[in-house]
Amino acid sequence: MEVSIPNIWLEYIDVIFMTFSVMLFIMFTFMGYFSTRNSLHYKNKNSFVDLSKIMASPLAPGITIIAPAYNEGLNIVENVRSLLSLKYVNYEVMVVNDGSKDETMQKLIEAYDLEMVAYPIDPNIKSKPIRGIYKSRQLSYSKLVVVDKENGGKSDALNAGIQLSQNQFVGCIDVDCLLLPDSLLHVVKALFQRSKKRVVAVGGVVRVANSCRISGGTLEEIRLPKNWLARFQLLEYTRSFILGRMAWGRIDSLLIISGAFGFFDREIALAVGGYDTNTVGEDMEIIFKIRRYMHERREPYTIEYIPDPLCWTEVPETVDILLNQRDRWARGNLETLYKHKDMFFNSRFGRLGLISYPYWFFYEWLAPLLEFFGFFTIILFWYLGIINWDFFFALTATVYMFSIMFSFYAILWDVTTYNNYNKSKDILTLMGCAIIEPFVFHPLVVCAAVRGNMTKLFRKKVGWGVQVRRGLASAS
Amino acid sequence: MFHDEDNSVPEKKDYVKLKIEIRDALKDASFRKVLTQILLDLQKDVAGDTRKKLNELYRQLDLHHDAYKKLNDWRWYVVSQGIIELTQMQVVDSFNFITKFINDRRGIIRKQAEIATVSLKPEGISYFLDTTKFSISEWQQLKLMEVLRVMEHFRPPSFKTWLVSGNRDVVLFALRLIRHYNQNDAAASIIELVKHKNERIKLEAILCIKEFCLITALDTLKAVFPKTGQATKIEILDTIATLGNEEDLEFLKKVEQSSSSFLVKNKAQMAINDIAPETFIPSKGILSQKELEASELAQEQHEHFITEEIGKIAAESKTTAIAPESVPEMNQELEVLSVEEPIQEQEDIEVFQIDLDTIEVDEDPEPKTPFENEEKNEPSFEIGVLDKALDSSINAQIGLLNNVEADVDMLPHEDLPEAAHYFDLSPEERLTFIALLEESATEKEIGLLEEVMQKEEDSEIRYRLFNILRAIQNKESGSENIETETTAIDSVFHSLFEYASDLDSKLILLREISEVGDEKEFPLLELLENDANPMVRQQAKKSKEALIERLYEVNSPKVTTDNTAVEEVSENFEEPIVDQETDPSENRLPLELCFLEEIGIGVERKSEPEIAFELTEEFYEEQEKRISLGE
Repeated sequence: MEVSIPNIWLEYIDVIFMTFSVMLFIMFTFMGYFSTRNSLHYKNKNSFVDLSKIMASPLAPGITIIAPAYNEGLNIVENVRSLLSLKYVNYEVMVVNDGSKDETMQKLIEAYDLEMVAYPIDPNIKSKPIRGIYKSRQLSYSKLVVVDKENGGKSDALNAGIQLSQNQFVGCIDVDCLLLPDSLLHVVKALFQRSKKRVVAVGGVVRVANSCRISGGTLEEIRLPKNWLARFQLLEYTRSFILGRMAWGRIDSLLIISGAFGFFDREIALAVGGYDTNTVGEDMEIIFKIRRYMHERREPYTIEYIPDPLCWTEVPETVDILLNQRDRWARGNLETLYKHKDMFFNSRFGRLGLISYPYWFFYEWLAPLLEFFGFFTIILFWYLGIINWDFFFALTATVYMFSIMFSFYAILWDVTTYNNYNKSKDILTLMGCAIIEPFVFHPLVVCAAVRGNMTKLFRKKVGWGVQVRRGLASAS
Repeated sequence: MFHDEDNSVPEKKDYVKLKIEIRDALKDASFRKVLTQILLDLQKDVAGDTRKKLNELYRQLDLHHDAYKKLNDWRWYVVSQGIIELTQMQVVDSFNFITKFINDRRGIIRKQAEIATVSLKPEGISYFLDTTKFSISEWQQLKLMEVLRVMEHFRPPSFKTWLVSGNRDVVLFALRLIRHYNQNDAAASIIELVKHKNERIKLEAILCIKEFCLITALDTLKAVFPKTGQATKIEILDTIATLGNEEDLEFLKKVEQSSSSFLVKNKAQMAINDIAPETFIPSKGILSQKELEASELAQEQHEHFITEEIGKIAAESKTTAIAPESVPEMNQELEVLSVEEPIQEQEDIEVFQIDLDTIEVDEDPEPKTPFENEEKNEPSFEIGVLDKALDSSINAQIGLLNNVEADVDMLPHEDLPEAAHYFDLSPEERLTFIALLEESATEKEIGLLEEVMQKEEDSEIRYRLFNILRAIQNKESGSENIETETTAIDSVFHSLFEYASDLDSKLILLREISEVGDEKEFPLLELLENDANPMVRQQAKKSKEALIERLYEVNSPKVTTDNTAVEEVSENFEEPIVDQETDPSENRLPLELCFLEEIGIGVERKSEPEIAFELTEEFYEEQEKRISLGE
């Protein structure tokens, strides 16, 4: 090949893609290793624990579960009933009605016999105005607090809940999520188990509840989703939660806690100003803020991760809703990374600045864009006639095999540790999904990520979008 | 496991044989492992003597030696497993082997060793607190407390000994144990610990102070207050609220004024109110004095206006009927007036109707909806918030005014003419009028009601009027709920009726009700009017009519129409009327007048006793003639 500027440019592209791919392999290999160690450690450690003993302990800390609800009239009563039946003594469920336009509030009032109560509200509370705070007249629902406020988005509703809570810890969840009865016991253990470091936040695995048999707010039978899109997402969640976050948790560099299941030390959450209401990636952004805050205070801290399947949620079953969701995630990523750009390769923030942030930048935000760009590069190379087809197919096959292997490994660990899907057919179906996922599901995710970035970069004003839920109560 | 020395010889032989077999099998490591696991699992499911026997069996089979071996393993989870086995099977002899791990650098082993130390011997807690060098996590403290809680024959040592420990987690745990076991003999140490740099220790010490009512600690609490975190400040204020007196008010007021935190300020106010009740009174959503005065003035104007307007209506309606087409216009105007100027602009006739409704709204405000602010829920003069039922009553009233020229006279007011116009109405109009009275009658209508009731012939209407009167009287005497509280069960006949075995008995009882019952029987009769049996229904209806007839017959205009009778009616409403015929003495003449019977003048048996007979002038004249004739 003759030496010319386009050729040099093409050489650089080769190097960039090669380096990127090799680094990706190395990172994923390490991730597999750390997650395995962490899983084994967790399993061994928790084989001695009897969580039920602490249920009635006088030292059990107070926890407020904050569940923002916006137009959740379909299932709100059942969802709250499920939250009220958790196995723990010292907790309250705070449902924040974020100015719903449907009958969410009315249904709550009727179902739980609510009445407006006098509740100390800080006049300087940083959220949209609060219309009223309701509690039940019935003793059996004494753990329930309903905050009715004007619409301000999920972050605003969570902020209102954090500020109104008077407990030491707050849990921020999606109201349509299903928590297993002993969830809070696991959370308390995670929050309290460290003696040298302060546990500022706890995150957990979110599992896919589509097609599961749910009755009376209780998960009765775990089933593989019938919808193929949901199956692909199940595989993706397994990879992400069982391998990805477990590995980051092992090296104490977790940068995201799912908005569906996250618990915080209330004092710290308030100190960092709660959730950012100007981003759609608020669950990631608050972790960045907390880590920054603790680093700056030079206080020993950690963010714990619970791999037990405690939280179950419904995932999108149609392409449109899935694309909207991933679009939003991509925008959230970009907004958060941009807001905390000073952390990029900044040794002042330790592992956070040198490993977590760069990884997130290159492999969570940039990767889909590079994949998209790479696709067109291949066409360009083919057009220019400079593509080495043997090398291309060999490299593509390697990447493909690696991706399948990584997915199989995630399935293996899922079966080894928690074994949610105990039918051989289910496991084989999941493996089948892993084989076809790069051709069917992955392009959708890449497209949504590109769309999200374009939307954000061209400053198009977009909110959360709409997610139509079938409702867990009817999922069965 | 359940072998006994008193067992029969064959059983003993079997036992020995089984033991030998197990001993042989125990040579196999995997069998031992499985057996150990089975015993550990079983141990969780049994209690009392069985558990003790199980623990003993574990030792007899020398399985604890395997656990001892585990203690020497290099893997942390194997060592931990060994400690757990020995703890669970209560191998007390292992105490000394386990305590050496109490300061192990591997966290999980250390934590298991701590639990084992506390669990195996009652004095374990003292040993642990004395020797531990590492910090104790909150989770570990929680578990240790749980171990102590379920431990048999545990006599807690005096935990104040460890308040001087160099390990701050030991101090914290000791404070918690002191509070848990109510060891209130360490006041000085606890008060001193309020000054600790660690917020958790400080907070726990404050909780102890509050629990043990250590009033002497108040000065220390006030002294440390400025240097504490928000949670501790709130706890200090709460403690002062519980233990403090008027001398602490100055401090609390200072905190209340100077604190920038809403929660601290709020807590300080609550503490002040606890010590000196009602120092802080509600201020949010309260009307100012000016607003209150304006409101009173408006109310007076409002009432005055009603009186005037009623007079006008009464006068005008006698000559001019209100045109039906003018009603919607008036409604519109009413709406505008009520929104903008609810009091001053009340010149239109329709405003009167608003006023009625406004009174209703004041008495029974619209239920609050969750989507309205408190301010929005306050009673309003807006017609938009009026109840639909009230709207319909307005319409009914409008209809009445439109159709009946003189109907305005029926509107309940003291200035209205007597019930003369009522009897000009058709039966349907009378019913509408009664319905209106049922909704809005006040004490001003008592005279009208009484008059109508005397003259009305329809017993059903009389009964409804009676109920209206009773409701007004109850309201006056502050017992508005009496009417609603009177139910079928209140009737003495209710239980008799329940136990009546056959239909005949029930019918007899119903007839009895009409003869001896009082108004308490009405709910029961109304209930029985809907009975499944048609005969019961019929008899209930008859009895009700008879009862109404009997109770109010005495006041009927047929008997008397003078004022005395009206007064009696009024009295009878307050107290149940006693059947006149039940007292035969009232039908007898006084002894000095008994001679009258001989000359043909007798008691009018069915009339009122007070006016039972009358002597005419002719009688006296005749008497005089007889006397003059010397008869």
